[in-house]
Amino acid sequence: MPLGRVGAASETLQNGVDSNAAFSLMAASVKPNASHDVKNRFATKEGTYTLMNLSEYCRPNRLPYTVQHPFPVRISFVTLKEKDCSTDRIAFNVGKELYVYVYKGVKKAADLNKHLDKRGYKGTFPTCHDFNLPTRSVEFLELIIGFSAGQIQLIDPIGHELNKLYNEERQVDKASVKCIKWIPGSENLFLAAYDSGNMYVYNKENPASPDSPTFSLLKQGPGFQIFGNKTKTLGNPVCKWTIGKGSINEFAFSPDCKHLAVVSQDGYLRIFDFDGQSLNGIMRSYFGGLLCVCWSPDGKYVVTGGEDDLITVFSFYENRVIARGVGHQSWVGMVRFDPYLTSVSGGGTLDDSDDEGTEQDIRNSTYSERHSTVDMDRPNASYRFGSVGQDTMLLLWDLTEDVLKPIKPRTRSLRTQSSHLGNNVPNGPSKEVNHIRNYITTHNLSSSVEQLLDLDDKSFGSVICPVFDDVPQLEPLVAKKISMERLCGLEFREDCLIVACQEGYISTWARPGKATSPGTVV
Amino acid sequence: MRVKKLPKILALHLKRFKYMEHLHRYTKLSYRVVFPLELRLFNTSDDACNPHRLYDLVAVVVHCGSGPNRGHYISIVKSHDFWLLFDDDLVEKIEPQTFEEFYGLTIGGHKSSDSGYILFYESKT
Repeated sequence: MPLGRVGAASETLQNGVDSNAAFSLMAASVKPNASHDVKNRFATKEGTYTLMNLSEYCRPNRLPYTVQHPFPVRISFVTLKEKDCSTDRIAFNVGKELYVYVYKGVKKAADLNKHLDKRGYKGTFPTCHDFNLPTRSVEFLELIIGFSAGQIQLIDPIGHELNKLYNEERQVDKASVKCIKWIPGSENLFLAAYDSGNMYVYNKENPASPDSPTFSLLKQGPGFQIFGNKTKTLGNPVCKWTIGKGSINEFAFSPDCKHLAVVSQDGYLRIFDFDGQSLNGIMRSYFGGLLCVCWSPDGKYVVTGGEDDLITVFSFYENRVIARGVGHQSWVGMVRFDPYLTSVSGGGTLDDSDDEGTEQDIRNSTYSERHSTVDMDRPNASYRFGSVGQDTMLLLWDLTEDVLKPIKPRTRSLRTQSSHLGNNVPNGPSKEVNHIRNYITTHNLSSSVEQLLDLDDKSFGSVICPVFDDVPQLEPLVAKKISMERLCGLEFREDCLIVACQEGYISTWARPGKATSPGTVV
Repeated sequence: MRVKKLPKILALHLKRFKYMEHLHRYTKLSYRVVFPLELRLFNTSDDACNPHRLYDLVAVVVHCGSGPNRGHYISIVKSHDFWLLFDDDLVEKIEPQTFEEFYGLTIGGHKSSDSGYILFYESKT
């Protein structure tokens, strides 16, 4: 049957939708003839960011990956100390391939013919990966990789000796791995989250169980269950978490490594005390699945992006949505804080105390910053984060005191509950701020979270999913179309920001003043 | 446009064809348009009686083919928490993760595609 016939028959409907740009559904298309709109530089209040064409990483033949598949390109970085300097390595997946290169930053051109490792897979796609930080060295790296058919592989992209497989026969889970990360501070443990809504802790040293693993329930709470492996010997996976309904899309450990933020297709952000195995915070998208999540460097805020085309800013200490960011025109694929332009106390930025710039150093410095800043009225606190999405746009956001100032919760009942449940704030704030926290925080509040969750759809209008006009709306500092393809990866480095698109191009944007002119590129 | 009265069933018709002046005919637009399983409207009028209605996707009409004057229709329907794909006399159960195939194309927007064309959302309340 011809398409036009239906179109003509429903002319009124067609016109109605056509003229309605406000429907988020309609704005998501990628127009192929709009290359003149794609920016290679953009200005912010701190200066101009410049696309470094020679610092683009992709497949060695530079051809786009055009086979349609739903797996986003992800990037992983690791910084290695080499004699007196530190150098970076980058890993990224594109389609059925995975590449590892030396990342030369903004100053030197990428050499795409000299990859450290290149892998092609059959029948399964690499979907996510992470470098092991405690075991890294110039000669040896551990890269853990999750796959679309559920398998997990551990490789050394430098020495090429290491090759271990987990869930090889898919007896643990057949769904796609959505997010995989080493558990901070551990050399051996990693966490893999699946499309099935399960996530598993593995120990890289434990042997695979020959049969399907059996699990016994250890603990359960509102919307989650935790199981242990019943195998008497050292079994893999070590334990299993079942969270919400539907896929787990991303998770992130808090900067102090104690808490785990998990975003799911059911639209919920859930924040767990990872070791204590309790639910400590919860938030609901405006609608649709939540796709990405990131902690602020001081661990106070969590930002998410999702299928509602919105950024949602969640205050972990207050357990409420404090703002929504409006600006994307399609689903938000990744959101990341910029630790170098975030100042959590008296004007200092996080990288002031951090000349090395390695991941662990940043983690340590943010941790110490956090301890030194327990006051509630920091006049200069300001957070920068960025987001990318299927609208092919990069958006930068500033979160400043006008929305950070705590207000008294609207829901009186929640406050009453929290006043006697909410004393257990991590890292033990000083006594003088405790009395403030008592009525604004809802920490270790599994029971009050449970009551909120029992409301289910009625949670709309509460602090976990406020009515649209009831929370401040953020506008992006900049919103630029910087690609022809939808964007799925974003990373902030000291002198640049890095963006990945679905076709497999990893572009480097020099921060203001960090761009080298083409003539000086070595 | 603002919606004053939010319907129980919200039908959205994506404009997937366009009259091309230089070709003197309609062409199909296969551009990628993602659609979520859940939807709230942003563009409601201030006096709308139930402006925050939450909708569930319940059915999609998909057009397969390269042009507006040829091709084939299939439909995806939610039935008792399962998604069923109806293709003439063939009916199969599918997972919502596969809806990606029906969003359209990001490149070559005028090529053949199986793309969502009419979306039906039903209010939860």
